[in-house]
Amino acid sequence: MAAIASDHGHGHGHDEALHHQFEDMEQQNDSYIVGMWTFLVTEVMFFGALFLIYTLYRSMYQMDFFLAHEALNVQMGMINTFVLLFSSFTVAMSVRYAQLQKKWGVLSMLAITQVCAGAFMVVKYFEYQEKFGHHLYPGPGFGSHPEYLHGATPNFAQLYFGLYFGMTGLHGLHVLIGMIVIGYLMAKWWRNSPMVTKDYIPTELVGLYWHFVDLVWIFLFPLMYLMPKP
Amino acid sequence: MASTPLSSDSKHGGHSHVLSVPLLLGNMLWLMFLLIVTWWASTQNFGNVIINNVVAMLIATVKAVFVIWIFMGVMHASKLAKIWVVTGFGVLFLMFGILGDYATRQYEPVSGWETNVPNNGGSAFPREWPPQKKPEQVGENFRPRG
Repeated sequence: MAAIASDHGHGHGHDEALHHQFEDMEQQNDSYIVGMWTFLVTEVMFFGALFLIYTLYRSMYQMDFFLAHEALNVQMGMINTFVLLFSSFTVAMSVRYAQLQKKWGVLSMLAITQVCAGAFMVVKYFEYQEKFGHHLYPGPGFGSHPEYLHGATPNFAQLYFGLYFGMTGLHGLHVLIGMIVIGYLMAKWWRNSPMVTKDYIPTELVGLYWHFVDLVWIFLFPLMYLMPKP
Repeated sequence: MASTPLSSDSKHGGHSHVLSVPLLLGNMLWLMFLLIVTWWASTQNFGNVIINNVVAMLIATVKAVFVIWIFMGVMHASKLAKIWVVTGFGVLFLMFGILGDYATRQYEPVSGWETNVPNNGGSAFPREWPPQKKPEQVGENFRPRG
């Protein structure tokens, strides 16, 4: 590949990470970034459809959604939002260190990100455990403990919790996938793989994915946990 | 080979834009401040529920813009990447136009789609399942489905 790249004769240098179909590193990086954003846009549409469903049903059953949402723990939601925002910062720092080719900077920042992601999932586990204990999961047994419905109509409260588990569950799945991908990236850095040490883009793309996960939560938190009273 | 638009855009971007630590740190602190504002706003009444919701979503949107612009590096991305990002969220905005269908169903009364029936918020399907009887035809606007 390097030999083919050097045949181009554009005077852009001979970067090891440059693939033969690109003119220079700028063009190659831009292609990666646009490609990653294409994927993220499909994710935006994916979550967007769920936000659309949420908007429709919340506008129809405002009071029931409000009453049902009182079962959520705002403190836990706040902690998780802080944790995710902080992890977005550490990921951005890891990209910075990758650009500066500082291996231990990247690894330490990604390790902190993993701790944050783990903390997020632990908090989510306790939240889910409480809801399951109160029979607030959609299904035949829903609402068998009416005191936890806070006066909401069971059918519409079930709709709310269906959306709550669906949307936060899907978001949690993205966090888990992010942890796996970040773990893989850390292994590459640990082994000094040229894939990551010679080119900062893999770290950047994983970072973009993680920021997207943060982005979804930025909207989920006020919509699920902080509803104004109708 | 002539320079492509992709590469000419990238002359202003590329891999040399290392964001400074104060910028990243400042952005994180600003986002955390906005998170506290989000919580504070949820405890206030700005007039009515619609305004309260709009305020909450405006704050969330500001937070999202700062994440996208700084953390996701769109501020230094190429014009192509910027257009792509804006188009993606633009299409999401258009998708919410689907809600217009639900908002206008009351103008075209169709059996099973009534919006003024208790426990039936305009669903295309009857709430009893399996249906106890076929939906009755309502008025002259009845349109058979299926």
